[in-house]
Amino acid sequence: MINIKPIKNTTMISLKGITKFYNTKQQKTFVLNDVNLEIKQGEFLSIMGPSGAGKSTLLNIIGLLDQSSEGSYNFLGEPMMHLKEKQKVDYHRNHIGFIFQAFHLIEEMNVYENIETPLIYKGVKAKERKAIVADLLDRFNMVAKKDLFPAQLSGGQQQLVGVARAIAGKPKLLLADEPTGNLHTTQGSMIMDLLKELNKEGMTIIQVTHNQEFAKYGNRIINLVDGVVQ
Amino acid sequence: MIKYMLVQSFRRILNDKANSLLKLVGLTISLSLAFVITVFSVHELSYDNFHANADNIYRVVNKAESSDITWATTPFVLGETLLDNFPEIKENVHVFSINKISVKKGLAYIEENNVIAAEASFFNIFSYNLLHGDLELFAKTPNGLILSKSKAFKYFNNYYPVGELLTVDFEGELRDLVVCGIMEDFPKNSSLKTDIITNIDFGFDCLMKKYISSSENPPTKEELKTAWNMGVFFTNFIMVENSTSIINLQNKIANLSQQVENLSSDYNFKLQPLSDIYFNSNAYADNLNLEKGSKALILILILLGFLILLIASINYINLTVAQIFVKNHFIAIRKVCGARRRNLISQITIDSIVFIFLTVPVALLLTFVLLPIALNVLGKEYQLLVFDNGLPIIIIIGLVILIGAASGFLIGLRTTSYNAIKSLKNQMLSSGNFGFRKVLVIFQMVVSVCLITLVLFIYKQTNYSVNKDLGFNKEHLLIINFNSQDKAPNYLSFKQAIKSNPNISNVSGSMFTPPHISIMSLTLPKVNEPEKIIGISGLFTDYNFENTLGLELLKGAFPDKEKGINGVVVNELAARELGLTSAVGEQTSFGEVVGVVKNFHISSTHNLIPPVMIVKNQGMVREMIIKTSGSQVFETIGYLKKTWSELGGKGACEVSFFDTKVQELYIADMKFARLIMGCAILAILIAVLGLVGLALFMIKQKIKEVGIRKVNGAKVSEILALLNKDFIVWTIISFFIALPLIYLLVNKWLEGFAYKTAMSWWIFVLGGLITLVFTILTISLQTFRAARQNPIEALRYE
Repeated sequence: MINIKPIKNTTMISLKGITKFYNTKQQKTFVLNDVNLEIKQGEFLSIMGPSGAGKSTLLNIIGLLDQSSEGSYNFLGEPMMHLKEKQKVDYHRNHIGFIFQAFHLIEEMNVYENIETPLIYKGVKAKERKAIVADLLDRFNMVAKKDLFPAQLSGGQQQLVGVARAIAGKPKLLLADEPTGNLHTTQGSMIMDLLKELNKEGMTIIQVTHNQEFAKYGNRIINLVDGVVQ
Repeated sequence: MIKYMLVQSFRRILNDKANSLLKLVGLTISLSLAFVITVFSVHELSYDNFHANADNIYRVVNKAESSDITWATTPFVLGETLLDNFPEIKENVHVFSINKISVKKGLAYIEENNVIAAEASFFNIFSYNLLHGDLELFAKTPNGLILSKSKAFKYFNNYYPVGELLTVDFEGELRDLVVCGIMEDFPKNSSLKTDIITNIDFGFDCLMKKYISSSENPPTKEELKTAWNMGVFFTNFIMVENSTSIINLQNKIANLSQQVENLSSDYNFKLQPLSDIYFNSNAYADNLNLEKGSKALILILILLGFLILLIASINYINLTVAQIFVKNHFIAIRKVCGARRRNLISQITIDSIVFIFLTVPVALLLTFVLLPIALNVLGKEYQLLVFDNGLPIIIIIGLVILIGAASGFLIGLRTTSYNAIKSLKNQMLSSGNFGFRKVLVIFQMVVSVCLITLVLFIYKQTNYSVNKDLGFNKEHLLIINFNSQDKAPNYLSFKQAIKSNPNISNVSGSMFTPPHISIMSLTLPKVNEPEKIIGISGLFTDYNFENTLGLELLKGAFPDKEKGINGVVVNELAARELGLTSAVGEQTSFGEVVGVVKNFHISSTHNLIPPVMIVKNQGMVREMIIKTSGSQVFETIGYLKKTWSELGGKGACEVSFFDTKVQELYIADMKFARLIMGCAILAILIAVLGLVGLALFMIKQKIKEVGIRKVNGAKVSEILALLNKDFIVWTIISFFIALPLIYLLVNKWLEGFAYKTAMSWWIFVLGGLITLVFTILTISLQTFRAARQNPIEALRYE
């Protein structure tokens, strides 16, 4: 277990000289080129940029799903560059939640079980799990739908479950990769309102988006073009 | 946690019904086959192990120096001699095989088989339960008998007929026997099965009767009991003290001839453990009608069972891996939710165990159907129930857990090793994971090709054997069974009567008609070195035998009653073996040699042609051999049957064609072929199910590629070629891997034949082609649909 006490307004994420490239036949293809970024606790950061700019790669590096080729990355003051698989899982269990454009719910699980999954992996006791999931269902007005399967829900509802699942383990950081990309505007706004609310409660959020309107929900917007922060 | 995982497992199975069904069918069939094999093997391996003293019981066998045969029968006097000389031998019993006897029930006589005669000690040695009655009474009553429970009910309508009389007809003589006891029916796994055990004294009466019919100077009962040199008619079982050193005892018995008067040194007694009798008595000459088993068969079955289970497990692994890769975020989402690799592998392992357990109920039902069929194919006369014994179900459940755990673990290792993020970004994984699958599919195909080709060779060899030139003219031969002489008309008058029929050109008779399953061995001294005893095969025949079969005469003449030519005929090998110089005119202990014939097949192609001596003895004829003109065959058979009953034949006249008789020699080979073929079909069926599944996944992966190619003008045939290419290449690779394996297998199998069919290259090619055609057909059924599809369908969701 990693136990780091977050202090408000202190730096949560510090990226220095993050570079990501792929070696193709003759040359290096850069996805990210010397990205330097500081993100404070409680921030809501929107990353914008054209397709192929490296937004998702950056988000994945922050979320420990991908590794940079060069540079240094500190999360809550700890270096993240050479973590073992096991340590990464610990961060996923305790500090980082994800939501995806394609929702990525587990189709053979109902709403309740989908939300419960990270808690099971985290080793939370059954009784406590029940309480947490019940709270989340209640908060997102999903109690009536708890026994439905993802295929029986609308996109917006699926993404609600996605958010509930991401925050069930009470992470400090929520990473959202185009969370509204597959939703129409009303549903999109609903999800963005929810994220805003979570941010107000103190959760640090980083979202990647194409949508100008939704980007404005963040309290800081950065533009990424060809792997470089503008 | 476990409950959570189980629920998920079930949902996943239901979510992908087509795929689950493909996997289930293969696993169910193979598991059921494994079940059948386990039930069968457990039963076979349990033979004779129910005797409480099993470890201390031995049969005394005799491997005579002068002959290749090991006799499982010994002289009567040996039993007492052993008891007197060796205190470590506690009990001894002589068993005499009376075999067939007719028992009176009401007015009718019913034939009972496997009747034996023995002393009361039989029940001290073996654990056959006596339910009622008295062994002492049985021992004291020369005409006493012990009856099994079911026969007691059959003849007396009750289970307690102790003291009642049973009338039997033994070769025309009526005798009243007293029921002295009732025993439980023998268990299924007893290699000895009998329902009637008479006092040994009645056995002697039967033996005397046999002697009288074939000898002018029959010995007395007393002589038979004490002589060492009047034939070996008794099976001798001994029971030794616990912890007796059998090697020591055996050595002492081997030296017995030095202590005992009149004991010929030609006897060479050995002790065969009871546990050895069921599996290792094939080469022994015994007369007890013991059931015999084959360990090699059990091994082959277990091997085949494993191969087929392996093929089905491979399908399961392949299809599940493909399933996980297609739903590629399966692993990734869980990783992102904080699952460790360990969690995932155990989830997948539980999935697999649950899945394979699902097949157990259906496999069990299928086993009920398959078991009797399998026993029939294996040529077993007994019936088995699936739950006769608890062991098979325990073994099967163990197997299920093992297969589930092993394949689940493999799938887990295979699917959780890659980086989670890649599968979250790409909708489908590329086909880079085919290496692992390729190996598994090729393995399946190698097994299929091997089995198919082996079946082809077995059929080719059997065909070769049946049609082989036997060294005589086998056309238009009919055989009439004269085995039960009390039911047949007089042989000579029958022969005389039918000779006049214009469609019958030659009539003769023989103890058996070559080629025959068993051959009779004669021992006689060499002509040029009389002190040397050799064994050659003997044929006891009627006159005219050589002409009827059309044997080729090389020297001298055939024996002829009318011309007064009497003596024996030998084949070339026998002439050499006996050390004859001019052959014709030389004396042997069976008579003067009058003719030498070309070698001919006397037994199946499994055996080399032995040296043969043909001896005239009408008394030993058991089969009449008739050469017909070849026309009006059915009229001739009708005529024979009519004449048979006109001349007083009581039973049916059994006429058979020579060809049918020859084919009967290869029944065991045909059964083996059917067994291998059955397994080959199952193996291919299961492998094909796997190919269907893989083809479906491949199509899913390549559906866009197909659409794009079609938009760009590819024809259906080109698309088919594209989709089928991999599978065809795999089949060809497997064919080449299989070639040396098949060569070894077939070579090994052909070792059992002295006369072998050629290892023709085209059989190998045919085996490969059959597999290839199967593969292409299976795959094309799937790929054709994909190739015909409107490309818009595939590209719509871009």
